[in-house]
Amino acid sequence: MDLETLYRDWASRLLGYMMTITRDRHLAEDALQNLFVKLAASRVDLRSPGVYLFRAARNEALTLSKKRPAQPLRADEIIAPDASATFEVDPPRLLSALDQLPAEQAEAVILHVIENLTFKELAEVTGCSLDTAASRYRYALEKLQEILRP
Amino acid sequence: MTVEMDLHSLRWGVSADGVQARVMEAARRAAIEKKRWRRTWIAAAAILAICLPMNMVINQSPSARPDPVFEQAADEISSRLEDRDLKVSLQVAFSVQRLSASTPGVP
Repeated sequence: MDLETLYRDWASRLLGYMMTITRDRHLAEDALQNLFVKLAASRVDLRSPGVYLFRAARNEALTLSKKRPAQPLRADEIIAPDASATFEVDPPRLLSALDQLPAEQAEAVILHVIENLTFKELAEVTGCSLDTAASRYRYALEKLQEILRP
Repeated sequence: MTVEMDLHSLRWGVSADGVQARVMEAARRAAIEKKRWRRTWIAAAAILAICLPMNMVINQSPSARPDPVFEQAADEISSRLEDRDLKVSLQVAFSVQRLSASTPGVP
């Protein structure tokens, strides 16, 4: 897969994911650039790039996120509700609740529900065990329900 | 499970289209740089592989003259090479070799 195709298919998703880690658009863009520079200089076989790209994106974003932004982005500046979907919970409330989750739980939710990664893939991306990945997601759902309880 | 269903209706709200030119340019430069390094290493390895045995032959020769067979082979290899940088590197190496071989007193 050539780099242009890779960019077209993956860059926006990777940027979104990196922004949830860095909470800063410019840092995430820099991390995206670093990632593509490394991809261009390496000879990685990217026929099924999903897990590899998200893991590499995570590493790049974490490296740069040591420089914390003064005004971190909120989830609603990174994630948008599907316009055609109907919601039980008001989307702004849902995104605000997502902001209140611990980083690793929010990451589990984002990768599992937005990116449709399996728990096995989620574990590979975040470098934890399968059980931990599933637990993080379960705890995140419990916490979200608790936050959103009227 | 309503929360979970709602979560599945969320999408990324950002686009990387605005930085495509910048990112792809940086990636292209990295690829060129990598290629240049690889060519340099290949040239260096080729020069060593040719010059070391030639130097040994010259040092062992009583007349300290370059072997015409070696010279002819070197010219032939050099003329067949399509890689311009490698060709120039080899030509320089052969010239140095000829010079050191033809200079009296130079080992």
